[in-house]
Amino acid sequence: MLGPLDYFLWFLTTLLQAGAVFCAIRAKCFLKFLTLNIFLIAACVVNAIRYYVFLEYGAASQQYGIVYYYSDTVLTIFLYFALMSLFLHVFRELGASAYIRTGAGLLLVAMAGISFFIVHQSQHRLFTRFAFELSQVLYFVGAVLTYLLWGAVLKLKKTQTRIIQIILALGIYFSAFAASYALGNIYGRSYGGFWRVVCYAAAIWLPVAWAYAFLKFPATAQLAPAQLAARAGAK
Amino acid sequence: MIAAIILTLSCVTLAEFFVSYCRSQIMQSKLISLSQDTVELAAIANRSVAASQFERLIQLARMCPRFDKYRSTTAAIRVYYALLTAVGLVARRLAPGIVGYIERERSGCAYYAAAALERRIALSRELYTQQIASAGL
Repeated sequence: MLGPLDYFLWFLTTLLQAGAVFCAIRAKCFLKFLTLNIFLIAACVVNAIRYYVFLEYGAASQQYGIVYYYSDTVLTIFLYFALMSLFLHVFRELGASAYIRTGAGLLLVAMAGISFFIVHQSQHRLFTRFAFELSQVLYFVGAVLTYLLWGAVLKLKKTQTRIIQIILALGIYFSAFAASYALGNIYGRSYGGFWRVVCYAAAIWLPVAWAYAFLKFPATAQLAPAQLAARAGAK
Repeated sequence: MIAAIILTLSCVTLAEFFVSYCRSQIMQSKLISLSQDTVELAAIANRSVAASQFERLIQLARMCPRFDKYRSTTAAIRVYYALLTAVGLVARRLAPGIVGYIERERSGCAYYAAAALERRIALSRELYTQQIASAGL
């Protein structure tokens, strides 16, 4: 059963996602971060579809469950493509050869393709525990890929602050969702309230953090990533 | 078992990403030098911002008119500061070696708050100047 707060957060998330796209357009970086913006637009569309199915069938219906988990996994795959573009950007700055960049790009495309294939082939199981476990794995793979990307960023002497912020925000999003789904898998329904809070917080976090990165930091702003590594000995 | 492993590793990566995110915000804020007005207003001694001044600086920044469209990120730094304070209290007993590091991080948070105050004062002043100019005074 959804309460007024759930509705409010649902609409707020959609508005923030649309707002982040607007911020990208305003900061004249829509095309530069095209895959990120495609994800945000897709997320808005998915929210509208979910709301329609919710109104038609209700939150406890099988139809809503299938639409929810199917769209959730497809959106995660969209984020893999966003990650791919960030990987390519970082590899280019690292001066990696064209072969490595193409290989990494193809690997991510293959991963997204395989994930989509698994989801598509398992539509009939999307109302079962399988959907929950699949989402958990997809988010975790996203978190691991973002961690690898962050490792590559730390090798750079300097890079755009905007890219750093976008990658770290994405890492927080993936990690929060993966942890949340894993917690849900361990503790089951008794954990439902907390799971919803984490999901809403993460869903709100990503568009806000990206919009901030688009607007606040010009393309010329740079940081030395090595200084950001959390080390107790660092001065 | 797999869920427990994923939970543990996700919490580790979440902490790492969150700390790095906050550190990047703080580092960016250190590129802003504090004006004499802000130093006087916030009673900052020798232009070095002590960790204990964080709460007061955040309160002062909140008192400024909110023209700053980027104010939302102070929430992340406030959470980071609260976590550092909590970890610092535990570390004093269990791992005194990292207390100095935590204190430096907390000072960074305080500088971030001072930079936010600086930005808001500058924006307020800019708006005031524009209003005066448009009124033809």
